[in-house]
Amino acid sequence: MKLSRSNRVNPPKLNLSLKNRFWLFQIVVVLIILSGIFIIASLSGVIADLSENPYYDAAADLEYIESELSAKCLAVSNSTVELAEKTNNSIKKQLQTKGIKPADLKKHPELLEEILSSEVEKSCFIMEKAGVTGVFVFLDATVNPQLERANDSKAGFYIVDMNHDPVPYTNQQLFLLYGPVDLARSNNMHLHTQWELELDISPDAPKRRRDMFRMPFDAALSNNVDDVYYLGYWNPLFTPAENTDKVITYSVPLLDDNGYPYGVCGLEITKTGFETMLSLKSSHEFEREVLLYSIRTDAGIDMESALISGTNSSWLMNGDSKYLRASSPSNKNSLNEYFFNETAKTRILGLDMDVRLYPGKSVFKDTQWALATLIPRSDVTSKTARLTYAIVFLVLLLAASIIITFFSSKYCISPLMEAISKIKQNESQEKTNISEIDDLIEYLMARAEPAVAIDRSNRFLTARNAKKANKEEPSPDENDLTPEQIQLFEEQLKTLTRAERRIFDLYIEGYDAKEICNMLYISINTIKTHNRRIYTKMNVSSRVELLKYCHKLMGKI
Amino acid sequence: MFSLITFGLDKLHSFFFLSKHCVAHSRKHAFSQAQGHYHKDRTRRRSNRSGTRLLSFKPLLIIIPMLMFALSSCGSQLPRLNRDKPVRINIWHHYLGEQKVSFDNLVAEFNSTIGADSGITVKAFSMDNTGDIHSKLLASANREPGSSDFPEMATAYPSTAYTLYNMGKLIPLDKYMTEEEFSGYIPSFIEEGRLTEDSGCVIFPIAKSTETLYINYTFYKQFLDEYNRANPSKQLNEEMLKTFEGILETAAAYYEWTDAKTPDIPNDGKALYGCDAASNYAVISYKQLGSDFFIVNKDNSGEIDLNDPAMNKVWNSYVVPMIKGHYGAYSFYRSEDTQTGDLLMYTGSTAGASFFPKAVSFPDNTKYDIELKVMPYPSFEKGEKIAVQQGAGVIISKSTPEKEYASVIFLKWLTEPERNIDFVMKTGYLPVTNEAIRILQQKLPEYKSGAINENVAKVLECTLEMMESYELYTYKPFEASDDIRYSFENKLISFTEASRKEFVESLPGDVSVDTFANEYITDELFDQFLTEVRHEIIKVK
Repeated sequence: MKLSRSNRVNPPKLNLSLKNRFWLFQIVVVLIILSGIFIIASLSGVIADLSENPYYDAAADLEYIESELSAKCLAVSNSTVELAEKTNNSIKKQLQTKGIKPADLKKHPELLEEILSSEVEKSCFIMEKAGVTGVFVFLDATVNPQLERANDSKAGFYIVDMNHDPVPYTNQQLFLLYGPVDLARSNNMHLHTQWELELDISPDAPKRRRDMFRMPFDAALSNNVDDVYYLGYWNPLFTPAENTDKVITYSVPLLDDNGYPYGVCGLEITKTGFETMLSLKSSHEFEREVLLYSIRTDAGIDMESALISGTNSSWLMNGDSKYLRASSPSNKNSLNEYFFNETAKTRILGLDMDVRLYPGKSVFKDTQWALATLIPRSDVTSKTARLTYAIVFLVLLLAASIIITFFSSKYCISPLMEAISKIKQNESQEKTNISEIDDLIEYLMARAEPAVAIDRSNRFLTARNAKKANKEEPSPDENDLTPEQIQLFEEQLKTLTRAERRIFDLYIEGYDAKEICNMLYISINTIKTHNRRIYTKMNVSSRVELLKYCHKLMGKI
Repeated sequence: MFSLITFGLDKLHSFFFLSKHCVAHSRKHAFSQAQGHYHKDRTRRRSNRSGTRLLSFKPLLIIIPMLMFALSSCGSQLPRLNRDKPVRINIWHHYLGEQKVSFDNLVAEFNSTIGADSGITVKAFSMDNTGDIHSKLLASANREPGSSDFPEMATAYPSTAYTLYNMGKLIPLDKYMTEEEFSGYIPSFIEEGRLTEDSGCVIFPIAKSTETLYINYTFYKQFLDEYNRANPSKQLNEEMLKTFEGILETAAAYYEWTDAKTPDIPNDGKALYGCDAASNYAVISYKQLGSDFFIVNKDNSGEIDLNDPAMNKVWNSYVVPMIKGHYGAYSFYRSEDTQTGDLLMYTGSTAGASFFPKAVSFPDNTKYDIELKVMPYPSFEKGEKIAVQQGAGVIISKSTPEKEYASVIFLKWLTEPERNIDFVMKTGYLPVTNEAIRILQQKLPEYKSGAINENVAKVLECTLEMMESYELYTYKPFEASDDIRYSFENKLISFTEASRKEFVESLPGDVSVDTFANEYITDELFDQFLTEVRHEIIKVK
């Protein structure tokens, strides 16, 4: 069926009032601004940051740090093996020239200082090359076998580079922690404040300090392994002497041709050095996030040996608790919960993983080291809360915008609406102080004026004639004007310019604006400008009011 | 940055608040004025009201916000710290051994208490000694390749602080501390931190020290007893250790006594005494003898007064016995020489109390426990009782207001009597506040019984006595004072070492040390020393 033109259905037009249109326009503007904020926040990653599951960040961090740590530890173990090989060859060669076997070194204490002296330079070189903070070589011998504690006293040297980290320095600052005094004096080293001549591995000495020597040495004794790489031992955090920095060491045995150990050598990394290494790699999404590196036992992660790195790790300290344990997460992609005491409420979230330190064939392959990233539960909770707050804030902002725009549109449109209403009721005497509306009212009044003007002019002339006849008959509204106002009007007349006075006079004579334009050869805009000035100076709002004053004034005359 | 913005916004807010307030007030005032004239003069009111009324408020609109801004700037507008976003501040220090352990423990305590509550995390880095920190700080300040970022805090001597202050790197503590707070500290320590007349206090005194005489009393007593038994006509006593002349005489006797222990080896006697800081020895010797080591010119340049008779005294009382082997210096610190049995006593910093060995180890791996005796710093027989006042204070670098403020909070916490006494009792440093000294003087016996390190308690007891009877002296830094001092010290050490080496190599086996010394140590050698010192100083100037 073909519709006729008259029958065609027009799309419905939005029948909105001026106020509602303006409101709608403002809402659109607000929505555009809010969308812009949202897009900028999305592009800059703020939204992603707030909404991201911390598990993924922690997992990625851990994986990266573990690989870096493993690589660094592998480099240290390789350097230690290199040190062992070079030291071994050098000592064997020295002893060979004297016709002594390494196993018989114990019987020749007089040779110890000489042998050790020749190892210092290359040991320091390997320490520097490996980028670590200390190097040591201890032999299964003592300078004085006659002493009661001779079996537990090991001659050797332990050199510490005190200027390794964190500040790069052009010169090493080497200190002798263990070893003969002349070793320090002849190699331009200082004696460490905790210096000792020999390493004490008696049962009275701290266990970890003994382990530095005992573990690889005993492993070589009890295992038929020739490759020192598989006999190397990572000693967890300990102090190599009283009141020194805590360190982690890697030591390997020195083996003679029969695979029999006659000493131990190794490298150390200080706690500070390790912390620097760890903190550089961490992305630290959370301010109080810490990295923990320690050995893992059946009871949990050993806190006594733990190396903790982070800008603020004080929250993790837990008095006497020795082990940190983890509970499995409820969700696969959630952080683990950690606790020191099963009865205590857990306040720690995080992840941990094993660090590959030992090769598969290592004697110590069962020793597990763990790397963990830990965050206070409150920090994770507050991050989730921040996302909620952000969403609530945006919704509230939107609601507030709608309400504000409602009132603002009403406020902005109200003068127009009032003006229209007054025009409708023919009450357009007062100014609105909005130039466009005042102009419109003026325009509308001007259109309605000719009749009024003729009428007024006639009345003016009638009044003038009446005056001549001494019959004063004021117009009905002239009575509103007080003598003071009339006097003021009279005074203000003097302030008019020549051009304004000329136009003023023509108005009095009954001409309208168009006629004055033609008479004076000026545009309607010029007339309007003069009108505004005249009205302002005479303090009237329209020509009608002006004429009212004139009429009264003429009557007075 | 955030707080700067907040600070700026606060200012703007107050400015606009006041402006709006004034405008509103002027409008309100104008309105009420106009009410009375409304019917009389609507025209005039309309055209003039805002102009005339606002005109009278215009100066207020400008002046009041400016005054408020200025007043708020003058007031104690301290930066705001946020515990959820802790400020991290690094401190480079020179503490080693037990000092480092004590300091690290205090830092850890701060981080877990006040620091955690107020949003401050302090990270401490040990830099071995102040000499190294000096080099590293200058390298960082000059942004030399490979240097680290300048730390927020560092321990430094006045000379280092003076150099860095002139480079515009440091802030005066007066920025964040009131006069009342300063008055709690020992005035001379605060005064030492005022580098120039207008610098303010640039060095925060956290630990000061002086020098005392450390004696391996076990070995010394053994020597004294044996020597006096063998030499009834030439008796030695402990009182002799109060003067440098007495020490010199004891050292000669000790050399002779130890030399006699090995009759087969001639002239292998041992040294009795050494000093940790040779330049301190010279500076204090001058002062004790009534002279000044440095001559400081009006342009703040300076030099060593080498022509003063006190230099002869330094030569005869230090260099000569060093060449003869009566005094010695073999390792970096004399405490190390005492630990190896190479020296019996030394003058060294009270801050080194914890480094005094508990045993002497000999090359044959034999060990002997020893007892420490502490005596006041020796003086010359005709000299004043003067000892050095030293100990690096802490300087604070220019950074953000939050970091500067956080640094001051940490330092004030660190020097509260409780912490100050704890640190002092573990390290041998002097307390820095009047209150800490008062408590320490009252409760020292109590503290001594519970002291972790008995030697530190002994040193502290002696030091408190010295603070009453000695003048503690420090010189004001001047242009290159540090370099001049180190040049002198290096030359003194190297000249002494070289001369000693030459002396030993030239010493015939059948001639006694004293006889050969009369030939070797001449006025020409002294002049040569002075000439070499002058050349070294010219180089650094």
